[in-house]
Formats: sequence, structure tokens, C-alpha cells
Amino acid sequence: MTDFVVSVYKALKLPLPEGRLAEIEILARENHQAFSPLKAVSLDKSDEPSTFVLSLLEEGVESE
Amino acid sequence: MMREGSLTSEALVEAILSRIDETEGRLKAYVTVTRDTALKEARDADRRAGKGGKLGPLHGIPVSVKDLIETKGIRTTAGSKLLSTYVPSRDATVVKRLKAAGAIIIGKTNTHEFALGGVTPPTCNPWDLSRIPGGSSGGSAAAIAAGSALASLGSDTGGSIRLPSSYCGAVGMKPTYGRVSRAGVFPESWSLDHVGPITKNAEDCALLLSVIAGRDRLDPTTSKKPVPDYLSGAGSGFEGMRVGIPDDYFEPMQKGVRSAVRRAIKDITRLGAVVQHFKFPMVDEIVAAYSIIDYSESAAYHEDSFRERAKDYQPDVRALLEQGFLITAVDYIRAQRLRGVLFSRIKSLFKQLDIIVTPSQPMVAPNHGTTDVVLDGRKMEILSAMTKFLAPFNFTGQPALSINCGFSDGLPVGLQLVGNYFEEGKILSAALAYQKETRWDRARPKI
Repeated sequence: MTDFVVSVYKALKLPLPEGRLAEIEILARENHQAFSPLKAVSLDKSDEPSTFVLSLLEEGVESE
Repeated sequence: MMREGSLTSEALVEAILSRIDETEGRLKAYVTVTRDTALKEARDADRRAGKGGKLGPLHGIPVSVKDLIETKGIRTTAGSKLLSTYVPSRDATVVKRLKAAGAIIIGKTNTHEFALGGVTPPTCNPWDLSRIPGGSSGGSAAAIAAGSALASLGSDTGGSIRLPSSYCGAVGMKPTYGRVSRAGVFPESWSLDHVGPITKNAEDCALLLSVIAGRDRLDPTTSKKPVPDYLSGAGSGFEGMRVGIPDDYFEPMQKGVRSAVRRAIKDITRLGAVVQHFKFPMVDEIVAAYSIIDYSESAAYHEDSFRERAKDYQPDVRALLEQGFLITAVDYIRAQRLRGVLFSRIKSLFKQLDIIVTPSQPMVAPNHGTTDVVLDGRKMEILSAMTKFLAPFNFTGQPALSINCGFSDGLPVGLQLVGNYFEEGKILSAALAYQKETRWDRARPKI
């Protein structure tokens, strides 16, 4: 995990959180756990990323 | 009263300024109070009223604005050291619309830094100063409850209007995504951000929403759908309304909060609602997907500033952004794919329902410094507990409102009313009927 954190920060040219890498790693692990329900969702190949903003705008246009 | 001349804007502004003077030392709701300009504008408003002619719906009314929202010539800090000296050269669209309706900006209210949190330091809760007001629009809600503002604007990405409204006993509404312009409002997360009113009662909420809603060329996500007059268009309240109660929204929760919400459901049943219980789809999955989108989009927005000035962010905000940088593009897109799936399900659900009623919060306002809460024997990180019932509707983009439904241990409890897309009118009609029946809006903190 440390390698991953360091590589991401270097790639993005962000200041490395010296002395706080362990803390970030713990938070990242906790988040990984918190995000797990999403990973368990079965999505269909036809489920594209949200277009809900466009859908709402269409609703607005339709009503005019 | 102003039209009749029995009340002047100057007197009203002076009364609010006096209340600010009386409470602000303990409450800390404001970052900036625009005393001199507000008084000058009030006198101008009175002169215009004296000449007759058409007056705007908010003529001479003092309104406060969350310090995340740009105000021309008035410092806008977003609660951050990074913007401590920033004075915008333009008004956000919502501020322009307030002014066009005759409102007078009386000050800027405290926000959690860049809206990235639910605490709003250093603001206190007017019902108990040892407790937080909630956030991130905590200054706005605290000022409304304390009477140091008549109406306020907030923003809501994961509950930031409804959460402090619940903790402070105010009425706060997050409209449908695209109903109110976000132009000139510092983003937290572009696809989850909403702007809306925080007020003392449902009538004022309806009035403010009517003024700020509508298409804005500066925000391409705003809808062209016409804006109804939410105040005069109020329907028949809960009479015959099909109300869905998601049973999975009642735990974990404090006992006193659960009792207050159960009592509110009995009240709305008595008002004619046809209540049906159901299971809200995919709550845990939504909360996970919401967090991924929120953290990623926040990190993307702050990437450049973070590179240069990471140490100038508050530790909790910095930690949140640091997490956002570590989320993969694949996870972000997976979260957006779930959003598409859920949008269809919500539309189907509302073929059988008119509104959904839930608790706004699982708890009353926590003490300052609280990091974890124990609810029904389960330990939860405070931000997760605060956003659990609220963030799903940022994810879906539906309109949602929090209204006071009583007290537990002397602290306000919020009831959340959620509607179908662009059906703010139904929510406000229900809120007006509930408020008329219960009059919780008349409760005042002793500050």
C-alpha cells in the first residue's frame, strides 16, 4: 500500500505527506472496506455511467 | 407590512443587527457582517417603497449567505485560509436573484472549510452552545434558529443544508439537481452540489426557492423547466398523499430521535396521508458510491491548490482530499454507473409514491469534538452517521427538505421529506401542512 500511495503522489506531483504515510494507509484501507458494497453490485454491460444530469435537463425541455 | 408602510426595511435590518450583536459573541455564526452597506441599502429600499410602484417579493428583507457563495465586493473565504483575503468581483447567480427580488445581504455565514465537513467550526448550536450546529452550512442554520437572520442561503453536497437545519430546528431545502444555479458557488463535488434556502418556516422556504430557482446560462446543468410559484401554489398538504416510509432508515438511531419521527408519522397519517412501508433500494451501495464520487471530484477540484498549499488546509479536510487522490478511475466510473441504474429505479418508485418521509438524522446535535458516535450499540464515525440518511438524495439528485419534528433531550429533531424530480411543490405543500398542525417552527432557543 505504501508503494501505491507514494507512486500516486509522485505521479500527481503532490507533496508527500511525510510522517503521515501510515495514517493515510489506514484511512485508505478503511475506505476500501467502506467502498466494498459498491464492488459487490452486479452491473449489466449495458449500464453506462450516469447520464442523469442530461435526463433531468431533457425533462425540463419536455415540459416546455 | 413594508408595502403598507407599517414596517421599514431600516427598522428590520437594525433589529437583525441588534440580534447579531446580542448573540454573535457566543454563537459565531457569521464570518462577515455587512452592517453599513445593509443599512444604506435598507434606507434606499424604504425610499423606493415610499415612491410606490412595484416591489420585489423580498423587498427590504435582510438575508444572510453562506460564505461559500460569491458576493460582489464582500469577502468570500469558503471557510479557508487559502481564500482569507478573496473579494469576488461578481455575485453568484443566486445572490443576483436575491438582490433582484429586493433582498439585502446582511452578512456571510460560517461554513466548514470548502464545505468538506459537517461541523462548521467555530459556530455553536443555539440550543446548546456546547454542541455543534452541523454543517457545512452551519452558520446559516444557527443564525436562523437564533433569530440573527431571517433567511439564508446554503449549499448541500451530502446533506449540508438539511443536516444543520435538523440540528438547529430550521427548515432547509435541497432542490432537484439543476433547479437552482451553482454558478459562483465554490464546488465541493460538481455532480452532487446543490444550492438552496434555510429558513425558519416552510413559507419562507417556498418564497426563497421561487426567487432563486430557474435556468441560468452560467450553469449549463440548470433546467429549462418553468419555475412555479411555490408559495401561492401550495397544494392540499398530506391529504390523499401517498407517503413511503423506508423501514431501513430507522436504524441505527438514538431512541429519542426514533420516537419523535414515529410521532411525526402518526401526525401526517392524521393529516390524510396514505402511508406505505417499503425498502429503499441499495442504501449501502449508494453511500459507498456517493463517497467515491464526492472524494474524487473534491480532490480533482483542489488538486492544483493542494500541490502548492497543502499545509494551509485544515487537517480533516486535508485528510479527506488525500483519500480522494487514491481513488481509481475505474471505481469512480463504477459509482457513476450505479447512479444511472438507480435513476431508473427512483423514477419507477415514484409511480407508486408522492413523497418519502425519513428521519433527517439518526441523532441530535453532538458535542463539539465528537469523532465517533454509538447508535444502537454500533460505533460509527461521525461524518458517516451524519450523511447516511441525506447523501443518497444528492446521489439521486431528488429534492429533499428537513423540517423540525420535535425535540429529544431539549435538542431539535429533523424530519426529511423527499420528492420526485422537480416536485419541490409537493414537498413544500406537505411541509406547510405539517408545520400548521404541529407549530414546531415557533420553538425558540434561549440564547
